[in-house]
Amino acid sequence: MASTDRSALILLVLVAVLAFALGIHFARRTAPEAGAPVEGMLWPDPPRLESFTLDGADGKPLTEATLRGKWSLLFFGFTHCPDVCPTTLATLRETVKLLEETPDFAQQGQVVLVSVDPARDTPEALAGYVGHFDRNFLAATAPPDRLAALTGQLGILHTRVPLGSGEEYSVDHTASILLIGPGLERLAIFSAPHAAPELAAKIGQIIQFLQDSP
Amino acid sequence: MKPTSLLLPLLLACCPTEACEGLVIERAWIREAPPGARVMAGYAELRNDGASTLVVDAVESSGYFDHVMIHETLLEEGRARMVPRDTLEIPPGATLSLAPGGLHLMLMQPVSDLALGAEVPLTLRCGEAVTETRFPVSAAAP
Ligand SMILES: [Cu+2]
Repeated sequence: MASTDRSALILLVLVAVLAFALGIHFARRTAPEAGAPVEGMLWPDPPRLESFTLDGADGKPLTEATLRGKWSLLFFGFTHCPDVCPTTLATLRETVKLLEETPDFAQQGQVVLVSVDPARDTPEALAGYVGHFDRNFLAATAPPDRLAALTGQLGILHTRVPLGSGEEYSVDHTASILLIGPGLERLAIFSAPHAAPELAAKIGQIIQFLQDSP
Repeated sequence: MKPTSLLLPLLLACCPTEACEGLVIERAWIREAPPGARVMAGYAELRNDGASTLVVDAVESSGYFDHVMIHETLLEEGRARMVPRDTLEIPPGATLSLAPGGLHLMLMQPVSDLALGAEVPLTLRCGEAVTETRFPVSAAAP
């Protein structure tokens, strides 16, 4: 009797140790940064951006070709958004300034605001809006079907919500910033809220990591 | 009818209303917006130096905006949304921050473009009492 009890105890201890070790193993594997050196980075095998066509604020189409060969920071918003959108654009302006020390980004970096409110945001209105934050920022939008070709593949959600009783509405939207690489790799998704020093550090680390890895 | 019964409502209507008791407004500002902006946002720190809870139930602007709403930006699973609020409640001794990414005054349809440095009077209403403060238009928090 006593010896069966003892072997049962030993078995129990063994099972517990094994479960603990397996737990650690799986926790490591499923950690958000699994395999990626920087939080928010999609690595290895980042998915590639597929083709899309938006109407650029400069009057020309803004397509995946506009992003090829560049490090692009994408943000989705709209001009009737006085809180989150200007805050994010100001953060992006500061981030770009901090990245002046990352030569690759300083030479080939760009910021693109995509409006998820094409009913009110004409390309002309967008030009004035982003130009106010930084003359180099790009902006674009498109009617819902062409807009969905981009937002759908990036998992950007946006919904019109009435404000009060009148015609006015707001657009609930994903406030993430996306980093697209020169080969159209979807390198990272940074979730809001955003802080420029953190954002610049992560982007710098990602670019460094890609240059160091074959 | 006695003349005083006519005079009393007139007296009440004519004279300055009481200020929101204990309300101190600091670091007020309106974020500068691109020309043609149809909506702007106002921020401030609201401190209650009084003995009872302050309830701000409306914000008014005469001549600068069509109307003003109280809003809160909420972030949920990476999505940002703005939710209208009926009131702002400030317990005695507390400070309520209206700041980017959270509570804000939603300033709808500016009557004209507001240049950097412009000072916009806004009226906070607490029931019958009102407090007016100037909100300077600025690129960043003061
Ligand atoms: Cu709002």
